[in-house]
Amino acid sequence: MQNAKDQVLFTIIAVIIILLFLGVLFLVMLFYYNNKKGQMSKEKQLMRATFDKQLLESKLEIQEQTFGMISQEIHDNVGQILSLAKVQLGIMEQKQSVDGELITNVKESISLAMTELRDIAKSLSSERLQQLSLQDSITQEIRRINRSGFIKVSSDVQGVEKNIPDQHKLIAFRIVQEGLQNIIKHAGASDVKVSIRYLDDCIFITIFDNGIGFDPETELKKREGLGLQNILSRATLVGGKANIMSKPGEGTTLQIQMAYA
Amino acid sequence: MHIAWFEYFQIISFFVAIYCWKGLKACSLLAFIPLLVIVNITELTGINFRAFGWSSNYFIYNLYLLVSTPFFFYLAGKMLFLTKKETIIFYIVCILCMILVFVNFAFIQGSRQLNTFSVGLIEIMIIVFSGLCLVRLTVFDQHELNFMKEPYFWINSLNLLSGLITLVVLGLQSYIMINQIEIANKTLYHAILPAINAIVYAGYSYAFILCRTQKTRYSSPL
Repeated sequence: MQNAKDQVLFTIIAVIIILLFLGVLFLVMLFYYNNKKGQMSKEKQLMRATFDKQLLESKLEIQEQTFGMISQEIHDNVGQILSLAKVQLGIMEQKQSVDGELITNVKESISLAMTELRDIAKSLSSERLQQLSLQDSITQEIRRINRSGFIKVSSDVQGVEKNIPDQHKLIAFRIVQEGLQNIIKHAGASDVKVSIRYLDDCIFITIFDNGIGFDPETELKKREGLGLQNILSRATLVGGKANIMSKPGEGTTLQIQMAYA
Repeated sequence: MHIAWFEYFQIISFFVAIYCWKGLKACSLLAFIPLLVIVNITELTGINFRAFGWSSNYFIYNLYLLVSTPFFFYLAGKMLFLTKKETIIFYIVCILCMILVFVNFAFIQGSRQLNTFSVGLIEIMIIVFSGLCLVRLTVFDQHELNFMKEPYFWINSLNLLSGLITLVVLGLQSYIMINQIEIANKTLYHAILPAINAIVYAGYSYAFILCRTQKTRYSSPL
């Protein structure tokens, strides 16, 4: 009888121990999960901090380049036109007479300078870029470049633009803007084609020029290749990718692929 | 009047709860104060039942099951952070359980023998709710929690572990008593449950102190 009681006692205690073990195991699993979650949260925070840092760096780079572009545009275009207007006024002063045709020329020069300044202002304003669609911003930039007469840029659009976040739109436009500036400065091209394709899940932008071309690998390694690296890193920043394809003497193709969100 | 050693932990727990009432309120655990009043009255009366001229104390413990269950469920509901839909389901389940406990008290096992069915049912519900609350605390809170400083963790893990033991010991109470299953010359019930009670109520006291120190955390919804 006592033996039977001992067996029952043993069974009850064993059941209690097993249940306790399961309970403790459950708590240990919760501890483990909580620790994992903490680690992941820290990694996420680190990634976010790195992303924010990159974004800030990118913004500063864009700002620096923008200042450079303003300086160059004012010097090369507006400055030249206003100098011409000044020369024309000087001629009028020397002649000490009012020449109707010369006055018209001076007015045209000043009007052209004002248009140039307005275009520069438009292409630099982030707020304005956010109000416009990506396609409109690129078309305006192309029109501005074409007006200068240095180069002929044409565009081709396929599909309908979808809702693109402002940050993505701005960065995509700045990439295209930098690509076009690089072509004007370095490519020696006469023709540039910009193609925008709106696919179901992403935008595909291609910029092709018939310039002198270059070896992308070599250029990317150089310090001067920082502009190209910026194009690639900016695309990555908004979850997209950029690809530069070029060979000396065969022109250059810049492809940008970017998701809508 | 006799006071069992584990009752001191229950009394201390009650006074700590009163001392930390603001923290308990901020943590939505204020219902612990009336619950501890019920626990202390039950235990004191239950231990000294002979002084009242009763032959058994089962009636008082059965009554305790009836009265304390709504408080346990209410606290579990508060700690589970239920959505509107979940709240409706939760309260339907709780009301059904309480009806079963009452029916058992009134018609099935009666008030003169320990309502082991009710104990089993309530302990199962406490185990399930504590487990759910711990999972919710761990999985749905976006931040990593320091469990050692989390009052909900202490309360629910103690409820879970004590519930598992109580389920076996009190579920088999009649069998243990009839067959006089003993350990160290004490019935299994008297050998295990006082220690469990002491640990649980000491843990509750610690959780109440944590509520007092962390009341700001709970003053806004999680």
